[in-house]
Order: sequence, then C-alpha cells, then structure tokens
Amino acid sequence: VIPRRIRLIVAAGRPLLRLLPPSFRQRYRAEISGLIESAVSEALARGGTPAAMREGIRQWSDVVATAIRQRLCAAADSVRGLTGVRAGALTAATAVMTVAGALLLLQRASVAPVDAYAELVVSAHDPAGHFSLTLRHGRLVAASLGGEPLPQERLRQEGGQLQLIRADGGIALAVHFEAPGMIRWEPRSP
Amino acid sequence: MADGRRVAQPLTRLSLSILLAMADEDRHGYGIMKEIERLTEGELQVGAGSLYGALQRLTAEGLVEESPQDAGAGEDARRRYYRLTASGRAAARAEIRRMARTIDVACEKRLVRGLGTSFVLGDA
Repeated sequence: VIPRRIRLIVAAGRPLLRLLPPSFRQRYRAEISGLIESAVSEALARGGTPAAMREGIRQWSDVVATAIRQRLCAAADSVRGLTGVRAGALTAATAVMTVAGALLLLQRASVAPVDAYAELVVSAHDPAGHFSLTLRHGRLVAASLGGEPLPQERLRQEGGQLQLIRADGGIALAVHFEAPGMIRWEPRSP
Repeated sequence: MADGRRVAQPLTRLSLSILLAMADEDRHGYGIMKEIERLTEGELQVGAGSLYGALQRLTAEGLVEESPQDAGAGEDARRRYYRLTASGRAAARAEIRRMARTIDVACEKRLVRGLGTSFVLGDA
C-alpha cells in the first residue's frame, strides 16, 4: 500500500509529464512515474516528509529539464536540415523554447526583457551552427560560437542588444531581446 | 557500422555510468539509478527524466536493449528491465581505454603518480 503522502507528491508532479515529447512520454511515462514513486518512498523512509518532498521536487524538476532538452534537440535537428525562411522560423522557435525554459526555472518577479532572470542561458542553432549566451542579472557574461568560448572583449551589449564580435572586428551575431522569453536574430548563413 | 561509430566516440559520464551499472546484471530504471549512486558513492544522482532520456538514446544507438525479464513477484509491474548489448560492452571498454590513456598521460606529466592501477581489457 502506497502511503497517501507519497501518492500526493507523485500526483502533484504528474501533469509535468505532458511537457515531454509525445513519443518519449508514451514510451516511458509509466516507468518514470514508477521510478519517482520508488525514489520518494525511499526518501520518506530515510528522512520523513521533508526528505520525500525534496526528492519529489528534484525528480519532477529533472522531468521538466528533460522535456526542454528533448524538445530543443528535436528543433535543432530540424533546423540543420533546412535553409532560408523555414530555418529562420524554426531557429526563433528553438530560442523561444530555450528562453521559456529558463523563464520557467529561473524567473524572478521582474518583467524587464533582459534582467528578469538571475541567470539566463540561451542555447540555440541556426544554419551556421550552435551558439550560446549566458547572462547574469541582465549582463552578458559569456558566449560561445560553435562550442568555442569567446573572450570578454568580443562581447558587446547595449541594453537588450547583444553582439558577438569576430576576430577581425566584424559582427558575428547580433541578438535582440524583445520581451521576457523572446529573442530575435538574423539567422547566419552556413 | 553503428558499432564502429559508437566505439570511436567518447561517452558522456552518465552514459558510461549507465553501461557500467548494467555490466553485471540486467536492471530496471530504479535499479540503474541506485547502482549509479552506489558506484559513484552518491556523487552522481540521476533524475528519472535524465535517466530515461539517456536510456532512449543508448537504445537508439544499439548499446542497450530491453531485456525479456519481467518485473518479479511483488515488484512494481511498470518496471521494465534493460541489458547491455555486445556493442554496449565494446563502447564501455573503449571509453575505459580512453580513460586509462588519460591516466597514463597524467602520470607521464607527473600530475598524479602511484595510482597502482593495472587491468586487462579483453573480451571476457
């Protein structure tokens, strides 16, 4: 017999399974629920309700993170096979999802476009490849292009306008934060 | 072909840990999670989503497969068992060889010494 507290903790997070991509959800939802139930039960036996709550939160947070990761990978794979306008649209969708994920996990009370988050990580693809941006309290602190970290002197920012500078001084990528959860940029050519 | 490609690519820490957890017996998801915790002395704590995400990827790559073993009596009927494939064993061995080479380099450069590790990687 599963204690009521365990049932409640597991049931509270179950709607989060809907965030997972349908095929993954269909295949693994029963096993994921079962595993979380076992983990929470063990935590309850080990450390009582507080430990069970902590374990439940840890497990369900991981489900959300997995959902974001899986959907981003699927979007990135789609972009790699496309060009032009379709690639641009999917690129934007990828970025919106990334930022939305960060918003879900890290948002504070503010609604300002860039400084709404303690830490915001944007990871996205366009036809030229992968890039990432890390902002802390609205300030661009790190970025990479194609997995290569850029030195600080090649990062520029004016409010919500971010620019990554090439070694020759040209602009490699310009990103504009339009609203919380929304960024826009001109997709780079391969 | 899948074997050759996979063996040539490094495994992530999570992937290698999953393969190691299943090296001696077929395990279900929770069993894999607990075994990883034991093997890493609690350092690597895997969540359910990450675990099944990795299992899906490893299954697609042919390194892991579902085992015909059913959940035992008194066990959660939702549990499914997984096992290593021959390619999975080969990929794990290849990764351990890489790690061994890294240790050799570290010893050579005197970053570490006296680890006293010796092992044979065969097809046991």
